[in-house]
Amino acid sequence: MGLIDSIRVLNNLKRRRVIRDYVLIGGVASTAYMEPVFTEDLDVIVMVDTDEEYIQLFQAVSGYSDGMEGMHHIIGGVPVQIFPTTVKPLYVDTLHDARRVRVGNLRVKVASPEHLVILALEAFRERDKLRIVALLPLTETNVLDDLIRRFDETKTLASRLDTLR
Amino acid sequence: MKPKRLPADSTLYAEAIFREKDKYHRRRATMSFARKLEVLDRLINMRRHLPKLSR
Repeated sequence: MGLIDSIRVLNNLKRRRVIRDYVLIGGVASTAYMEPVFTEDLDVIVMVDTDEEYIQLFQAVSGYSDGMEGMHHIIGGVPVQIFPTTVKPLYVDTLHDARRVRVGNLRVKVASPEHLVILALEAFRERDKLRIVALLPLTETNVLDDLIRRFDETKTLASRLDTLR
Repeated sequence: MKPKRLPADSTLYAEAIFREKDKYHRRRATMSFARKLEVLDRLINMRRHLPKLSR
């Protein structure tokens, strides 16, 4: 039981068309690019077109999970939080520009470093700041600046980034 | 030949330690995603045993 098992279950759900597509974000996704950082859950963006589709998916995933912990499904012993693409256009873009990473014999989509930085800029907790500093050297400045220009709804992300550059 | 002792104010040992530490962290950053996930799993399993500050 562990993160690899969670990814295996999520891939099976994709094969059974319960989930159309998904991408890893957050601490686990960041670990694909940097040294492992402690995280307790697996954050995932799933492709849906409507809130109804998300509710259906959420309920269907519950059938395959070992239980619930708040809004987290326990999958493979790991709390998994599922965010729908309907929440914001940035999530659609994150899924669209995801990188494919191999985990043993599994393949999984992981958010690009630029998307992970902009998502961490939104959350901007102390641990997000550490993650941003570690990921920044791996990002392409023009790509990141373009993402901030397109998705900075609150007009705070650029100034947050400046404090860490 | 008897090895020469380093002077007391030498920073060579400390520099070597930091160089090695840097190499270690670079290795950890570039290992496979599967191995990294195993590290995270170990951390998650250990979380109950991590020391916590009492309030």
